[in-house]
Amino acid sequence: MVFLTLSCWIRNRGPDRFWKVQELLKHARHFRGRKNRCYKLAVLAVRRAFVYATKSRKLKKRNMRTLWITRIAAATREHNMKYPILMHNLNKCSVQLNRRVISDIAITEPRTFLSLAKLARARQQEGFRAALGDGKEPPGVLSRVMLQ
Amino acid sequence: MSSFSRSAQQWATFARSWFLIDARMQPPGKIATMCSVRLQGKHKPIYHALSDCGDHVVVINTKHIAFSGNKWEQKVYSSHTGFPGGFKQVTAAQLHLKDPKAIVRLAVYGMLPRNLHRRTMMQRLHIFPEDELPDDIRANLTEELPQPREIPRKLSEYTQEEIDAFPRLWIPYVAASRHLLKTEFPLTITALSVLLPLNNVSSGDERHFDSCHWYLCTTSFWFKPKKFKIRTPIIERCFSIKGVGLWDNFDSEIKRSKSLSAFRRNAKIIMRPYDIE
Repeated sequence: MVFLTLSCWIRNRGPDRFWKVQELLKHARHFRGRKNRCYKLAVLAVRRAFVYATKSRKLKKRNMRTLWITRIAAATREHNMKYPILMHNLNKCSVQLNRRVISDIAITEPRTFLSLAKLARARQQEGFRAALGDGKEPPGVLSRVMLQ
Repeated sequence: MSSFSRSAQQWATFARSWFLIDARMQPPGKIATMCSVRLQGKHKPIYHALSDCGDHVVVINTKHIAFSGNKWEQKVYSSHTGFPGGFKQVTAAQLHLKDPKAIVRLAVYGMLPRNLHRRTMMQRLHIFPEDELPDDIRANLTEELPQPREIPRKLSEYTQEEIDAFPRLWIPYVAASRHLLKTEFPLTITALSVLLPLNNVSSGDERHFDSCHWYLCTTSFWFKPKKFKIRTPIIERCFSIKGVGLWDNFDSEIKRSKSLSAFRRNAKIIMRPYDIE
């Protein structure tokens, strides 16, 4: 026998299991059922939660964008226009506001949004005139086209 | 609005409005899209799925909705009672007779998102078959929405001067009509355009034709496949010529024949314009 005295029978286990377990359980404290108390169940639940969190970082960007688009569409319909018309014509006017900013404007600054809608509408009419008209400016407009 | 306090402004922004839609002579699908947009709150720039920003919608005159095409006979609403042999299919016409609110209700139900909010949104939808509204709902109404479809005028609503001044497209001529055999079974004839007289006229009687008005109409009978166990009567529809704009529904005798070839043989109907050429 190797362990001949009592003092040799004592094993020295890791001293900090409690804190390592707590480090994991702190991420599970808001879970439902035994998953928030019992380590074996919490391990699985916490791993799943972290996987969902990583995947959702990409989904969040997508969801936020669709929400902005829905809000902008709702605001443009209040002004008798449609979302694709607004965005296309703002693009053509090289207005580089992104959807987040435009949706915030639509909520908090309604008059600014109205001016954006009118700008898009004017650009649309200009596009129609360029496509269908005879290349001349409407009366009262002085521009490069006339000076050529 | 900017002089309101923050809480008052928030209360005003998130208040729930009551919309009124008149469904007389409107396609129920278009009515349903308008309803579903407002029930979800997607007409507001503050929309969010979780913020319960939907409004109330009141639809009146659902008894008088108008399906386009032959949907009254062809559109089928299916359900199952849960018991064996309990698969039920009814056409739109039969369902409408049984319950005039059902078509609009089912259309809106199908257009709402399939989540737990759908039932609450349906509770905020109020459908009435006729014009009468309860007083408490009438007191809540805030806005009436414009109808999606412009109702075309009936022939009886045109004055004689307008009819005379209307441009005539072409003058057709087809041989005399004969009465057809009567059977029960409808047939499909697509895009068969005949000009039929407003009054039912027997063949060879020239004197009636001077006083008749002639309108382009598409008579479509349709052949029901065997899987549908129900039989519905044929209804003739009279559509306007595109660009001409005259239309009227008339109850003429419904002519049926056993086969398409028999119909073609017998359905030579006189077509003449207002003045005889």
